[in-house]
Amino acid sequence: MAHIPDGVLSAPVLIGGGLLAAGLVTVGVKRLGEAQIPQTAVLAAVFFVASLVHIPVGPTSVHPLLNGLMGLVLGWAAVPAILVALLLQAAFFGFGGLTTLGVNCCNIAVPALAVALLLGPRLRIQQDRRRAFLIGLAAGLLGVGLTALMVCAALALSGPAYVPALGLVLLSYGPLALVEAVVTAAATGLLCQVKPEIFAPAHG
Amino acid sequence: MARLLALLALCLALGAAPASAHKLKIFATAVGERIEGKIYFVGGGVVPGAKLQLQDAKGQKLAEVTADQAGRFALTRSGPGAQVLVADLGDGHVARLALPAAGAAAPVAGSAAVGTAPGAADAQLPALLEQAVARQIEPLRAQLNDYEDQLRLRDILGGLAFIIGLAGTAAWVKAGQRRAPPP
Repeated sequence: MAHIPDGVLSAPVLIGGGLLAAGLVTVGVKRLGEAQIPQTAVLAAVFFVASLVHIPVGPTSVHPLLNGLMGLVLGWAAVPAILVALLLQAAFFGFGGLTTLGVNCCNIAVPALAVALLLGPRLRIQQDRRRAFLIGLAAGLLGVGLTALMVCAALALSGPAYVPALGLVLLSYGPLALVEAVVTAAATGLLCQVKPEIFAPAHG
Repeated sequence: MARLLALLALCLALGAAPASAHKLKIFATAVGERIEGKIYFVGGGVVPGAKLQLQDAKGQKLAEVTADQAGRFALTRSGPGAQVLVADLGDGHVARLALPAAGAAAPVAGSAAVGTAPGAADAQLPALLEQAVARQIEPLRAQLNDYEDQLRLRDILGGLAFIIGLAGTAAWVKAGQRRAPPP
């Protein structure tokens, strides 16, 4: 799903995804501030391990993505964090292929960036815990929802054979989006209370 | 810092718990022409009613079989050449299992029978031997497969250590940039 294996996508989609991922990672690394490195590494580690928690949904299975939370906390730094974690997941656990690394990275990192750009600025001026909770809720929904749409787009662009199953793919992301929205909201609310400077505007 | 360590400890606790994962896999055993197996998500998820295709080395479809509610399936391979079992759920989950050419071990079994007087019973012997051995080693293969599916703690620790090392490298590089005199 979010980890598309080798041999599913067509060459143009793989190359396009690879180029886009390379560009995003370059920008992400350039904008990575020194003070941000520890939390980038910690969230990369959390994302790396979170994929092991698997939730069966109907005939398929999903796992937490946490890209909404990564977008809120890390901003652009989420891109290199996601790339490193995906590479390690492919190498150690066999989740996703190496040729699809670029596409998978885009599918997870672009929604994280969207969250960072749309919701990040709102959170920075937000000290009220309940409002932060709502922003976290939106971040979780947006992160998973956009990933689901991008996975469907990657599959649909690769071949018409995948189109009939796309509805099922979107449906299977529904429960995950809800779970993840609650988790992201709880984390955001807590962070806003105990460590509000984590969402400081320094994360350009 | 204590909070970060607590978070890492939580990650490790999650990873050390009975491992479950997110990868579609086919496991099959072949006795003679007959192939039996199951399709599942590593970590315990079953795939009821999955469609599997038997393809030849060129990707031509030879046969199709639908798994039952428990994800089990059985089919007969067509011809002796190398074939591959492919399951594509259509949602981006794909699993493949290569079936090596049948009878690859047959010449060995045949040569063992050369010394004895060839009789009607001896002609069947290699096939019977093959079946018996296949039956005997099946549980072993299943166990090996289960072992392979287990996510091992050292893999998780290795990944986390890699991330820590990378963070250290990044901090080092950034610190070097900060100390360098402005051009």
